Amino acid sequence: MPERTDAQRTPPRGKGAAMRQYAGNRVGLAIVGATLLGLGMYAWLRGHGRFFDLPATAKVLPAQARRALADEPWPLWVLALSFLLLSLVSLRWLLLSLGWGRRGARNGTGTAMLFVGLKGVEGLGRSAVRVTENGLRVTLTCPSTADVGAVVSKLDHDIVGRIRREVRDDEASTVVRLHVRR
Amino acid sequence: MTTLQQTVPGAAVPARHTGLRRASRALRPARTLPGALVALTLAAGLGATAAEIVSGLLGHRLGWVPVNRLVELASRTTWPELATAAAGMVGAGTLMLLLALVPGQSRLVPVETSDPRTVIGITRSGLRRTLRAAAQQVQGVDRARVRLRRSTIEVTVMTGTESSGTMLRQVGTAVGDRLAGVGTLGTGEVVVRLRRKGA
Repeated sequence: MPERTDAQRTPPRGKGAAMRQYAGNRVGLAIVGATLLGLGMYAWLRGHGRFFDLPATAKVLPAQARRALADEPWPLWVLALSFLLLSLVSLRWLLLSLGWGRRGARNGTGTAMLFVGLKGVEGLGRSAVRVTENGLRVTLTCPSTADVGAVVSKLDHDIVGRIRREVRDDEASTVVRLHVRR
Repeated sequence: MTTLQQTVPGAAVPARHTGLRRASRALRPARTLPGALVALTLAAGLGATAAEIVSGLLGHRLGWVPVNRLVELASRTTWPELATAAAGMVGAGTLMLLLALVPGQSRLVPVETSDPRTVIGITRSGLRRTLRAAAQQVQGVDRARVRLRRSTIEVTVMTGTESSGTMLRQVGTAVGDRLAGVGTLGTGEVVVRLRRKGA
């Protein structure tokens, strides 16, 4: 029996943990979108003189604020630090959105069990089992001549359960991506 | 060219709401491309601006971001002059919010499973190919084309001049059987169109 990887040793999260798609991009887009919408609305309201009683013809950066910035440099340090922190948060978001730490590790035993379970299907290709912290991800590509219904049935009733018990535990949720090539 | 049409009622597996909801949640688009683009823009823009401000404070300008010119511009511009920029920001913000809130159409079509811990999805192109292969197995069919619409699956088959309504039913049965065999959820009914060459 091959030694288990870190991803396999990780205790499973809640039963339905993998049943949700990664929501980080949606959260990030919502935050940035709401901020842009808020700033845009503020600029529009100021331009039309509808933001409380503030004058519409005022400069975007008032002369006093500019003088204060020139006299006291510490707000600029605070601004630079805020930008740096936001930049690091954005970098983390970028790495996560590209799959860093989410894709998990390929599992040779699981992939072998997948091929053994589907040995009656000719022409299988690009198939793999990955163990992530939320469960299993199975990718399977079969030819258009294959009986896809039989493949789905075997996966659902037999193969996925066996792989799950072998490489993780019976409670781990599993997402299977099935593709049919030309 | 003659076109015959048949709708195959109940060819698709009826939507099992719980399974469909569970699968749709798991297979929902992750918005990777817009998320990565926005994250990259923010990381690069904010990082470069922070570096520019710090280098300016230390007396060695990098010249990556024209911070001084932007400050100059902001101190000359009045709020009404920002109307176009404000509209652009509102538009971009609304688009991002819609991308975040609208569930979107998944690239995977959910398949019925007996185990609630397992979600199986077949790619849309993969489902098209397997249905096309099923339609082309019917004798007399020269070519078939499958389109997956939101609530229907359209199968158009090209046949010779001697084709008949029987062939239409055979194609409908073949495609319906394949679809039921795969067990796709929420694909709706199958519409089969038959086109005769030279009629």
